Amino acid sequence: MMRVGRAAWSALAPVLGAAVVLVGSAGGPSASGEDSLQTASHRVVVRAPWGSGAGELGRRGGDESAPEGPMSFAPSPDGGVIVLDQANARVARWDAGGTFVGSIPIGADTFQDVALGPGGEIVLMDRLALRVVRVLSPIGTPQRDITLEGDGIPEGGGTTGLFVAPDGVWVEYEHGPTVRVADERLRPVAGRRVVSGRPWRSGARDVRGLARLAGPHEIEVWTVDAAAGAILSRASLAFQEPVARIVGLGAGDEGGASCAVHLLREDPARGFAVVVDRIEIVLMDGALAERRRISTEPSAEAWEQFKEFDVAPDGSVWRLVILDGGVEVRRWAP
Amino acid sequence: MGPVTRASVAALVLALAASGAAADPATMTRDEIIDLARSGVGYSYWWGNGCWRLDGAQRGSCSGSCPDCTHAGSYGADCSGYVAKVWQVPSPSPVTTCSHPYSTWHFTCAETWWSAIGRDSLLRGDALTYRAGGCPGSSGHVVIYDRGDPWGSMWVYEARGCSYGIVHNARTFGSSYRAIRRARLAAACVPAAETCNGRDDDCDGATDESLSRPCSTACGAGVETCARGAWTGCTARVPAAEELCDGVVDDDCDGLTDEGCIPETDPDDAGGDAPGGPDAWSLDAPIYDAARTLEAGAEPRIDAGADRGSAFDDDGPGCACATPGGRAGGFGSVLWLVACVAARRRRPDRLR
Repeated sequence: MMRVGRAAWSALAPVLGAAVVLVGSAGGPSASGEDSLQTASHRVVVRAPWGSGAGELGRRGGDESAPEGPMSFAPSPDGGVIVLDQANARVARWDAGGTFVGSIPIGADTFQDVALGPGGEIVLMDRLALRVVRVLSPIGTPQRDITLEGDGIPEGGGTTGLFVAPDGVWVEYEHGPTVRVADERLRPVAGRRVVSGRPWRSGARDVRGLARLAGPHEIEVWTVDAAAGAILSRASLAFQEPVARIVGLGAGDEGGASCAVHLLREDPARGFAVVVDRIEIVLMDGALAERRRISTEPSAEAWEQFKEFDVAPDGSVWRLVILDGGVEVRRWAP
Repeated sequence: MGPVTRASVAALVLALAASGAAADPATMTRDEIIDLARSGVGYSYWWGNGCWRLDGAQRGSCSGSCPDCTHAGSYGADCSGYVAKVWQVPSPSPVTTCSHPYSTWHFTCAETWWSAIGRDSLLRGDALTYRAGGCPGSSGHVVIYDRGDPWGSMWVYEARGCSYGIVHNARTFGSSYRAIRRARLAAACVPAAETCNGRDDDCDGATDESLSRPCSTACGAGVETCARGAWTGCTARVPAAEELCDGVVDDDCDGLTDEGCIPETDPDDAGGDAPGGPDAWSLDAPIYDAARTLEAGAEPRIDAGADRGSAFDDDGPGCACATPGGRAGGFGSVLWLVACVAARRRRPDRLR
């Protein structure tokens, strides 16, 4: 099934070879700190400057309105990545080598999350304006819009994640329950199923992952068997600095899990100036036992992101990082 | 505490206006701030302005890219106009009276009727503000804080931008945003047991927090939680409208598993889903063909390629079991439909 999407993308590479945007080329973003293509910790899969041209990504707002960068992204099974470039009303794609493949129009500039369907379909979520889940074919042909609000989703603005699982499309609400809004063929369902937690790749059926802030310096992560309602694994993760928020949570096919938190400390004696500001990623095994931690910088300025962290099926950890001069997609090996 | 109604918000506005003789902000409760914020949701984004109606009418519209955008209508707000009106600063002002006394520069870089607080001290009715490049900066944004969620994301009210208008949503904020609190806040909250009513009954700054109760469906029992005054998110499984041929779950909760399913033999999974040619993804992004977008819930249109006569659509998800084009009606069509329906029953496994 995934062969469908991959074949289409592979076919594009030689055709578009002349228009390849080289990662790390002049005119790209000036990374603050980690700016090499391959550091000891991660690889830069995509480096895209700001703009609306080929291989560029858009940003907007900030002048008495919300400043937005690219809101979301999704690693593809072939090692490439798609980025939701909603400011330019399109989705852009890069292959595993960092070569810009192309983009497709998505019909609106208010989408905030994107995921890939089982056959390479593009699945998008607009929480606030259209309030729909939109399905496009692998080449961008509009297939359907699914109304977002309904059972389990009282308010589109409360949705916090979009997931395509083997049994359909799920939408997370307030980082707690998830609602099945479409079946495995990406068609709307009549009776929506609501369960606790987000879909979790583990090899077992109906496992879900959850997390919550458990204290100023602590979060709790756990997995549940949705059918039985039983907790499978649980972990408390402590941090040396205050946790402002949980950035992301996911698992790979082999059971390895990862989460990311934003550590933020202000100094009241200095007008609440920010004195600690970093992202910390915790890699865990299938039983949620901690394996290692990665510390990296947060996105620059106030450019809003909806999903900046993801875990690919192979367990690799991905981040969409906004820098002063553009955007990087980084990958950490599992 | 009574329910929030249009009349109660109107009475609040009149009371605030009547108390504004000294041209200073009147004392407000946090609930009053949130009630005013809520009353503006759905109105259009209007750069350089701030007003709306309490009856939800005449919401206006915005097009283009601000500040070079075009507003149509008599009501709407940008982010700072919205917050100034919700906070009723620098003095009480009817929400229907358009005004824009402050920009994000004022909220971020000056402290007049508000002051900075730590982000870990945020309570409903406070605000988050940002200015690009610090102070004085060049541009910015400001929102009204409502509450947090289990991950530390924040529910806020904001005049978000031209494409969105004024919205209520859970979102994230980078460290560039600082928290501020309005002056002259009344401690009008009398602690009581928290109930599911959209109010902060116990005066702890959170609304409807930690409220749950049992619920059930035909599939079993679960627990539902309270959000914004309504019980929601029952964890009991919702019966599916149709049994899926998944071999495991009684999807429609009728006590039977996979009833009516036909064992899979050899689905026509010959591939063939190859979508289109290499010009589908464009280097310069062609215009989205909105005319091809389907109504919500409608059957998909299959136009990514040509079907090959299989009961499965070969070029994308979604096969409506109609007779294939070019076939005559009659008995042959009936046989085709039977084959198609049977094939569709097998289809779920193909996607796993």
